Amino acid sequence: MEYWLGVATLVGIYMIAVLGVSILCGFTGMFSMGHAGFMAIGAYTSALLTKILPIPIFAGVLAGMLTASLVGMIISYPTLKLRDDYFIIVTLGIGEAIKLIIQNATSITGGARGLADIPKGPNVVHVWLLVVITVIVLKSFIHSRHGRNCIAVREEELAAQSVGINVFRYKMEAMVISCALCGLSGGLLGHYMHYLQPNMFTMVKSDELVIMVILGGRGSLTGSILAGLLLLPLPELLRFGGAEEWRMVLYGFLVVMVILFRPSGIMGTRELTLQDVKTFFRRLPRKSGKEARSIDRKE
Amino acid sequence: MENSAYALEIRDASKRFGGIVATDHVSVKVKKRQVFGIIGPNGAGKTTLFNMITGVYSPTEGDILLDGCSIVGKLPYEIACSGVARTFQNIRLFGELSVYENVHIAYQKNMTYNLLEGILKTKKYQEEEAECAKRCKEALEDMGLWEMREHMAGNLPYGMQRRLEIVRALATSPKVLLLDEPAAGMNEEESADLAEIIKGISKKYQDITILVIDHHMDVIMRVCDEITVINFGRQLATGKPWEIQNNQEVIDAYLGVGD
Repeated sequence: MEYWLGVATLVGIYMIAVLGVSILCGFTGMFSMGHAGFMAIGAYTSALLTKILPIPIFAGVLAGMLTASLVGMIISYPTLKLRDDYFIIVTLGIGEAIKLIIQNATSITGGARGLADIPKGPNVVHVWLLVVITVIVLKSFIHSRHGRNCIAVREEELAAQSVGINVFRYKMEAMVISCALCGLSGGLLGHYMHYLQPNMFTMVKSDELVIMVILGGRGSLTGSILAGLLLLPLPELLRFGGAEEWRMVLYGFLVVMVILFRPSGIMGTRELTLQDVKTFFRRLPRKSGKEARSIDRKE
Repeated sequence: MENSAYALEIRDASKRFGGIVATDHVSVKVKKRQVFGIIGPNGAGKTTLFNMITGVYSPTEGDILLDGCSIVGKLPYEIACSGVARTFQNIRLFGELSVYENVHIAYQKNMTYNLLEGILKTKKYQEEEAECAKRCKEALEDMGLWEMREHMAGNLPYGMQRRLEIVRALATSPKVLLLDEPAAGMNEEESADLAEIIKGISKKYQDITILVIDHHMDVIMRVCDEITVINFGRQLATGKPWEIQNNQEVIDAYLGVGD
């Protein structure tokens, strides 16, 4: 039981990061391959602060969030004007750079040996409470003019400008929100694991975050959550069969499947509503072919 | 600066891309509340002119004044915020969003609540959103698109997409509306409808100034108060519709010169 609670906690922690990346990649349309780096910033900031200073864990996590968003903001200035593909390359570099800096600042971070004895804090309830708050805040964000402007930027940049949307500003807003959430996720991870190591924040981690957003459907919060719930527990589940190293193969396979059969992801740009769930279960016993279509949208 | 009599003034604007001259010393004065037509053969530089007005390009030479103030060097969104709205020759809707959302997003230019107020859904947020919903409904009903509000913009029939672009541009409450080939690809009946729509807009929105680019002479001649003709980036003539129709240089440009 305790083991499964642990899995649930980890899923919740990573879920926050997935939600952050969902705002940037899914809603604003900018792909980042370096958001594990911002998780690392949040994690190490919070861990080091709470280790050195007599401050509560929640203050440390908050500081980690702020540092991650600040770094995100500074990095955004020169990079947000780049075209999509160049932005991906830059974020990839940034993510790796952050990891390498942490790895080589041995005297502060413990380098590759890792940082141990981090004050232990969040449990499964705290984490999932934060997930719920995050979802509520993000939902309001998307339904405000700020969120809608981000979506407009994703859809058609030139048209967005022509209706008076400051494209740069809204890209920045999305970037800062996603960095803050990744920082939060990283901070929680450190305090939960009790231990940090630079290899927890590799490019593979960044890719996973993006993959989940794509699988869930770009522009759907519930899609990201569904994909997260599906994929995040996977490493733990596969551990039993000793098949852990097959995880990335499975990820790759899933992505190819989605690209082939459902290019817009599980949910597309739709949100899953309570009504959808009801319809789904009502139709389930009758015909198995129809329920897929009930969620489906004309494409 | 005192209010100018002209809504839009283009002074000697040129745009060169390397050695190619897209527009060559074009000067246009558009009076307030006028419907002003810009015509010319393909590649004449009409869209380049629009792109300069909206800040997508900045002119190599010359000046562009909106209400007496220069807008050269401003960013596209800043120019949009100071009251210039446009439609695009190759339609640029927010394709995966619904018809309603397209208009809603454009209307948001008039909203002022900040990020925190949006997340907390304060009273200001609620009021502004309610006002917006009302205005969007009106705008869509005006153009007969209200029934289609749930449809994805990218799936609309072509003529409706064009109309939606106009609604979206109008939703920003512009002072100057630029229509880039609104009748492109339309048959005679549709373009006659469009002419009525343009006339309707200029009647309904008292302060609006409209610039239209088009090839459909019937549309242009019907709706425009004044017309300028551009060919190979050079301005051939400016005048009332009947003056343009009888201008020998314009006729030569369109029909070719006999030997």
